[in-house]
Amino acid sequence: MAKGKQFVQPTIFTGVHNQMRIAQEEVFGPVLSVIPFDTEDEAIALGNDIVYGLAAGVWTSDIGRALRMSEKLKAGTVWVNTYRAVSFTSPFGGYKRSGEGRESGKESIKEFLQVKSVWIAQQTTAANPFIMR
Amino acid sequence: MKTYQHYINGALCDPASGEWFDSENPYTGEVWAKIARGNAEDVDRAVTAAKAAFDGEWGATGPTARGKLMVKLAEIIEREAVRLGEIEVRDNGKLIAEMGAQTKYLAEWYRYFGGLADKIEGAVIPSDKPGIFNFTRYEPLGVIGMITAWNSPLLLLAWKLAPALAAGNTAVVKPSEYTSASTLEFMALIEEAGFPAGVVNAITGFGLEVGAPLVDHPHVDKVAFTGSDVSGQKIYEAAAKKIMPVTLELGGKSPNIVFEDADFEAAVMGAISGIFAATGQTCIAGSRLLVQRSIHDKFVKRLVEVAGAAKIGDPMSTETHVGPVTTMPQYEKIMDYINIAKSEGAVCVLGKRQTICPANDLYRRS
Repeated sequence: MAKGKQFVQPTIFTGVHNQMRIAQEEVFGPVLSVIPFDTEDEAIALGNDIVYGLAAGVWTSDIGRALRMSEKLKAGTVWVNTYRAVSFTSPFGGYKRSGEGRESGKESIKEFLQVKSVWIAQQTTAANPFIMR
Repeated sequence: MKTYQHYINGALCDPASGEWFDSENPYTGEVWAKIARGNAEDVDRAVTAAKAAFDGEWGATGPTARGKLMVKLAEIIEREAVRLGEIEVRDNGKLIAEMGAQTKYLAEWYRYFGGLADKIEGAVIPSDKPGIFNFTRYEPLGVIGMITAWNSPLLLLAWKLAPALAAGNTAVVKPSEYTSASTLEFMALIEEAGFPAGVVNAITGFGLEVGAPLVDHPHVDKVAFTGSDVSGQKIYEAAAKKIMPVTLELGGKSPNIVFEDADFEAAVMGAISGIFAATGQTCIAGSRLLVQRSIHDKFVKRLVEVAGAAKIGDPMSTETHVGPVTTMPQYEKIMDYINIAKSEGAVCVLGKRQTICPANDLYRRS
């Protein structure tokens, strides 16, 4: 096919079951799978029933539910009443197959450091050299 | 036509292979630049330069001085943000409305981590052993290989390069072969900021020809990677052979969960931004929309209404909502998945015309 024709219209699928490939595999394109649920527990189970764990969104006006969901979702980022927000101030990274380590936020500098432990004896001792000090 | 060379030890240089590859604008399909095709020899030169800088001038540059250079770089990035954003769009086809803001924003990573450079503190350990003074110090790892993806090359680089430089490491960067230009343009800003030669190097090319030798190189001390989980796993396996640490930012299939008590319209817009922004080409895409059954039908109806009205077209126009898919292989992969969904019995409620090309007024029905 010729170049310059790489357009995909926003695509929405309903009637999707979470075990379908379209619900389990990353497409990396404008393709949305809509999956219904009844209860909060079911939403958590469906949300976590995936090999990935990069992010999750929760839309609710119930603060208790927001906190329960953010605790139970196995993802490196949980957005409540917002989505697709990142900042230099906040750690970003994946649970499960979504990655290893974190980027952004002050802790992430340790990803590029290693720690050395330095021991200095203030005086020499006559300890037995054949056993661990 | 614009030609982009490697950047090694503070100098632009031709690839050892003598070969170049095309960079295409995904919107127009036009080849707009020639990019150096790197190989293991180029990687070795870059890593050698990065190691020399780490063992030499950069290693002797104190944390406060490193931080100041990074803050200077942040100022230069802000000055050049518009130009960098346009280059990103030309390479990956994402919206200028997003990329223009993103290139300006990425300056903050260099400023934030620049400020952190001289606040990396060890501890004095209260030892159980008498007469022992025990303390810890944090030291840089050495040469960091950084491999970035095509969806946000400069932002993904900032996430790696800013903390790595603040910590005192040096870097060899390999951008995606689809989006090399912005990273190479960025090297000029590194130079202008006054970083010593060899602190940051860039080698362009393909995964097997540049990425693999970079990961395997004995003097690369860590690899930070953003990309697919399949590639991430290969890097992790290669790193295991060297007992080398990695940072991996991989894929996702993120749930975006809407309860019946949500602000309905805000949730609709949140669902849209989760999956249709950046043409869905983002690791954090909310590609599984879980909707409480009581509002399911009403929610889908509104979603189809809003997403169906999205303007598809030129990413350089601020009127556009959905730009092109960045690469042809990615386009084909998306089409495959649409067919998979249909064969699995999913119901396509929006997107019946799977291929449209506003640029050429070409419509193809799937």
